[in-house]
Amino acid sequence: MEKILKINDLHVSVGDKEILKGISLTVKPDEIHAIMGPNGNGKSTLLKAIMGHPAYTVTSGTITFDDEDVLAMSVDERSRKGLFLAMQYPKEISGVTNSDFLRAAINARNEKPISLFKFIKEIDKGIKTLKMKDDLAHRFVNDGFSGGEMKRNEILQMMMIKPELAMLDEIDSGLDVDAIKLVADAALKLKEETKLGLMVVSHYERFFSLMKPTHAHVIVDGKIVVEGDAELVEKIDTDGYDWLYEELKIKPLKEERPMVYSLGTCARNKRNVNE
Amino acid sequence: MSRSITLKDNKNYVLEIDGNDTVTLIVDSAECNIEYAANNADANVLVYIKNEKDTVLNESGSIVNSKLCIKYIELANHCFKQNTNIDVCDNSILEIRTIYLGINDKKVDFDLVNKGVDTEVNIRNNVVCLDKAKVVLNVIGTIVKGAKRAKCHQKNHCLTVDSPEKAVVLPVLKIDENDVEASHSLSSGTIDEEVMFYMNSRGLSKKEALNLMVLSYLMPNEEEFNVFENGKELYELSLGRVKEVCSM
Repeated sequence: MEKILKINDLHVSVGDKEILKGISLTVKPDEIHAIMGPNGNGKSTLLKAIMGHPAYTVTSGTITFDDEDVLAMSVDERSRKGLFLAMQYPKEISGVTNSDFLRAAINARNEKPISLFKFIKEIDKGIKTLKMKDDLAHRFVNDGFSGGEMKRNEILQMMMIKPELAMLDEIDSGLDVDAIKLVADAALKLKEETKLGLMVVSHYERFFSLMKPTHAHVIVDGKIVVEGDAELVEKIDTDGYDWLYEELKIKPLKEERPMVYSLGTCARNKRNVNE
Repeated sequence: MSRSITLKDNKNYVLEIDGNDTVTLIVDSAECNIEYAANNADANVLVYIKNEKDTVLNESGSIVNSKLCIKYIELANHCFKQNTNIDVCDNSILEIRTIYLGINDKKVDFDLVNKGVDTEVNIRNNVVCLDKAKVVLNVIGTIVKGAKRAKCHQKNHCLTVDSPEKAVVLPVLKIDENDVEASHSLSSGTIDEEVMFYMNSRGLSKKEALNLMVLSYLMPNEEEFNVFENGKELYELSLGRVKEVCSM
């Protein structure tokens, strides 16, 4: 049976602030959904909420995958069911080597542990495909990685784990032109082999022109305001979002950044100073 | 020379070392007193706490013209008390490396004294404190008057799983001499929620993620164990022990 991700009227808050205000979306296997929109309007929030980040509270709405309630699952259960999130800012785990981490991740979803021989063969293949450094397996996870290496490492993990629905959160930012092509090719190849469904967040047409999305959605102020296909991506790349705001009479949210005040040796964060 | 000694029946034990030596001390009694006497030695000692009941370990001793490295491994399920007081005399180096997994309450006192000239003391403590445990670690480096060119450095790393106040680590330096080099440091904290999310999002359960984190935090390279007699077995035993504890 096809594993379909269904999101229905999803509302998500961070703290007491509502970020997503009713998102509905269906992703089928072998589809590529482009998620676009200005900064700070809820794209990453959508992906993190699907994966189950503890800071994001779902206040109403449903998410199902393969007809099972995703919201009732813990983060690791969601992953074992086939969801994968390639993160915008992957975390460092110093002390844990890539090879230990990946093997544990693969073994967590299989009854029989992967043989060392097969594992090494696969990781070597992945490292070659993504043109990463040979010593990667023995380095600590994302520790001292450059921005590009981290992003490639996310794709390597995706290739090894073989999810059924992958979400790529600005995977192309921080990558050079050649690396963007490598990453896109790797993702497309995996899609061809496993009929992987993809949700791709990006700001750049270059990545989308390589990925060739089958669907496109624009999120403004926590809602999907317009949907379309690859043509919509192109239009936004050439014209920006302004025409949308005028046509639909909506306003985007401004991205908020914490301001840092220096108080001598101490410093504190203060949010929302403009309000 | 390489030897392995099992300490049973609450005995006092005097460990005399001269020349090159590696010693594995397996503590298997409720109370154990060890006295180190090193003279012109270059030795590695591994103290492994095997006893499966509450244990008290008292250590004393002095080293002269020697280099002594002592590793402690304590991963057992019970309460543990340790009191170590070693004098480092002329031209000697003492290295202390500890691996403590706090499953139950632990109290450890180190008092290491730079007594002679040209002495060096290096301490590295790695502690993981699990939810039910309370761990207190007092680490005192003393440099007495007249201990010229003494060096005393300590590094303490502490990881708590539940709440950070469950582990108390006190690094102390007492210095009564001018011509010295000394430092102490402490890092302490819980597992970052974002790191946990990252590991969970790759399919690792909380327990599996904890196991990886604790292993990376505590266990040194396997090579460090291989010099000891029974070192390989003890290493495997320790890995198994950490896994067992983390999946509880």
